Amino acid sequence: MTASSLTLQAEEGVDRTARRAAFLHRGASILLLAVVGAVFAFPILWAAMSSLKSTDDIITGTYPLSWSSFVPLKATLENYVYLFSELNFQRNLLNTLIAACGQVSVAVITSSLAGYAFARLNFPFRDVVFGLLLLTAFVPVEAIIVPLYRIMHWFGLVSTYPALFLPFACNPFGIFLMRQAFRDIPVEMEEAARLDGASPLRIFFSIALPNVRPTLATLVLIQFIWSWNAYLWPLVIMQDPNKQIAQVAIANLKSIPNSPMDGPLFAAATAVTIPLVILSIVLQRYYVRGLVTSGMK
Amino acid sequence: MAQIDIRDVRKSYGTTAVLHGVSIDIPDGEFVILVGPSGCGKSTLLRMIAGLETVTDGDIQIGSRVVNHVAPKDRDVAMVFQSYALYPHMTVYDNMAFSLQLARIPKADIDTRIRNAAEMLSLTALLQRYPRQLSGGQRQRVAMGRAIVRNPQVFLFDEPLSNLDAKLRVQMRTEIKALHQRLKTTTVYVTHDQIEAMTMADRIVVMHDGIVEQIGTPLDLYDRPVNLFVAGFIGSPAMNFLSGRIAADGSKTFITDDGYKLPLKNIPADGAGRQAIYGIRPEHFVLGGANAVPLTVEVIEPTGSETQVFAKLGDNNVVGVFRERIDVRPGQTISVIPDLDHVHLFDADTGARLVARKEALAA
Repeated sequence: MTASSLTLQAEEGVDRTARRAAFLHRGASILLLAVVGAVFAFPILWAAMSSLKSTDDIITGTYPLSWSSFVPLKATLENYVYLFSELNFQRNLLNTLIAACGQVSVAVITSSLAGYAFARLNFPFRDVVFGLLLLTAFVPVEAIIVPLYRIMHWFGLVSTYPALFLPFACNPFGIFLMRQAFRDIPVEMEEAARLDGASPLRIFFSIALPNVRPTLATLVLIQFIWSWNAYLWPLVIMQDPNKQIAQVAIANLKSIPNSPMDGPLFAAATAVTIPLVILSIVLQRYYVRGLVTSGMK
Repeated sequence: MAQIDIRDVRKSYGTTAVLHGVSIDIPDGEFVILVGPSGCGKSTLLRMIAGLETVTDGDIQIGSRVVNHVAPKDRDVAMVFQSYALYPHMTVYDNMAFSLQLARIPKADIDTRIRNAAEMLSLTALLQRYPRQLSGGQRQRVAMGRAIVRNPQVFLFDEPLSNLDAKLRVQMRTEIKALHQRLKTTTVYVTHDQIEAMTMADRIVVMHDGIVEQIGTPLDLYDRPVNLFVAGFIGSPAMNFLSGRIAADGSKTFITDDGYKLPLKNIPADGAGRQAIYGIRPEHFVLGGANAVPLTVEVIEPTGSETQVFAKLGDNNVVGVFRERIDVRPGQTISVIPDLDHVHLFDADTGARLVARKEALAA
């Protein structure tokens, strides 16, 4: 065997070892991600599976845990039929959608305008005002729920749709997010627009806003999820059952005495989750980019 | 097209003054380059002409009107930025059309103007592309196209070539100059690259620490720098400076601090025995000759067309550039004499050019 063939063999050996290490590393990463994903997905999947079982099957199958506790052996859509025909759950879903769309629209408008002002306009005490605004992000809704209710009452908005989202129109997180995104736009681009003859409002709509689209998508998604998952405030402010949102309606299913509603409850939980999953998948690309960078290159 | 008159313009940010009374007259159609090191105030001055910075004191006049308080969009100026500042969400066409749409120019006119500019700048095939799909040079051309379509009175360029590689920079330099020769629009161009300034400008304004050091044609600045700063800034490799004094006996000799004697063609009035700085450009050394001084070679850099020699004259670092292909190695000595027609003398204290008697009479 010649020296050169020995060298070749040694190089192939090193190459094979490196490839095996890379393969193992990749395999371990995928496995870890799969485990984490499964931990997060399991409750949702269990709820979705349980929604296809009758309430009796759910109750009897819970103890002791067995295969049938998770998989619907006799799959049925009766919970969904009951939910949407008897309980008129679509009404609650629509109310949630109205509240979420309202909050998203208002928050996107106020957050982008305020974020732009904090990022680009010079006015007295700008940074102090911004600091104070950020402080409000740390005040929980529970702490201000009574004054908020009183304010809504003064405006005569109790049990109206605007009451579901107007208190959250000024969103410190949204303003912060948009401010950071606008700050990443090169000032020169806006100066070029000024020289081109654009007014401040035109610069905002034609130049600044189109360049923060990933962040806008992030804001839309976050606001939608916050509003969609809101529970305490709608419970307090919405006293008209016809205008009540899905989360409160789901909680009410647990409070019917002597009448277990586990099946419809799981069906409602599943129905309420599906729009969020779809929206997250659709906006995921922008969402990740919006959080990591401002989307500018 | 219009002339620009800048009269005693000052700029301060709070208590920090960055421009200390700058006055420049730029005739209609001239290509003027503001050049100077970072922080000298050249970009600030350009931005003040554009209206992007306020004027603390003094007047800026474009054409017949003072524009101190006129909004940027109403000054009829177009600016090309260092980063190009293209709108990334718009195609090349839309980038160029934006200002015309805002000015409510009819669509057909907009289209004609854009296509003419695109043809001039070889952008026709790229009109539907987005800035991210273009190379640096193409983006630069789009930025110029965006300025051209407006047909402004004044073009302003803020270090437009500094993001390009060396080869492209040379190419774009020629293109910008050719464009100016074709359009003859008054142009103010900012750069810190003195080669760019020398090759492109009709006149150069050398700035330093917020003041104008000298205004003149490129060769004026090169041949007759008014002070040490301009002499050192203009020219590459930079002018050699040797500290010393003019011989006290009235002979046309300069004696360096370490005792080397260098010849002078003339001496200034009251020059005998005066402390001064002797300036000689690297290419103005001549090999050999009578009364030559010895340079100890440290590094040799042949470029093909010339040879740059980095050497020592006593304690002073000296650079020489020779058209001849000299056969010399580091550590060896070469004898050189300065070309007397190109020797400069500067006052040791103020750095101002010392004018020889003849020169003063000619002026």
